[in-house]
Amino acid sequence: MIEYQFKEEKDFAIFCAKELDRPIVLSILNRGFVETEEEAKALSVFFWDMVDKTIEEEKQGAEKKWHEGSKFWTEKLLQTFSGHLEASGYSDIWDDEVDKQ
Amino acid sequence: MINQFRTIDDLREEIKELENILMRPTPRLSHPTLYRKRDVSEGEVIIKGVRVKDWCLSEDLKWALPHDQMGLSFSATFSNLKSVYKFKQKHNPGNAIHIHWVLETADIPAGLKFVQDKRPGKKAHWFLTVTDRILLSQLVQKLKMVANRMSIIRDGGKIL
Repeated sequence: MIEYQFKEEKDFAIFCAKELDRPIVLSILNRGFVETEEEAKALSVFFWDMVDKTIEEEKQGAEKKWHEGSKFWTEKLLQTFSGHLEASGYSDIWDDEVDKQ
Repeated sequence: MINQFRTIDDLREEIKELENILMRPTPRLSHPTLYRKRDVSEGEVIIKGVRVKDWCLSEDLKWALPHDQMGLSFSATFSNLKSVYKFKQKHNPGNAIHIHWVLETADIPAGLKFVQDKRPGKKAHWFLTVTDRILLSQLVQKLKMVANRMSIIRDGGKIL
């Protein structure tokens, strides 16, 4: 299972997955774990897309929707998602996406 | 221990001989263990450089309370370090990111302790935690002491 440090991380990730229109990621988040390599890749790609999108929104002065701010929650989700993928045997897929950034 | 490594490979070689080097990528001009306002998003509360949400604090925010899974984040592997480094790079475009590091077994001030993240798959992620109830002002002093014990690899992105 994806183990969050803060329960708000999941809410934040679901919100972003809807914004980015990632149904596969929504399935993973609602189920609580990745099942396939394809899902591991989708979650890894989603993480960095979410980081890019929230940075862009912040730059543009978009209305803040989360009390702590998106930087805090994405920072926490980095450890949460990478940990889950490592525990699930998909750390290589996570690392590949990191290298593309 | 004060040592300057020229490349990550130099440090990696050193790590083979030592256990648990704990690292924090930090933007140039930022502090390795304390935050400035410009280091965080709007909405994140910082008191005297301490990011409130990272720690278990008393309701009046005057005390730091013991918690073995809350505190300052550190990377214990290069894979984890690289992820955090890339994350900070995206948030600080054009700014060099330095890698500050310290040994787990370094002379950490009493009341603080490095603890591994207990979640599955998180052996590479550690917290600098509080073990005793201490005043926030004491936590700040102790975090400054930890920072003084840290070594630095300048602009680590060139070699990661």
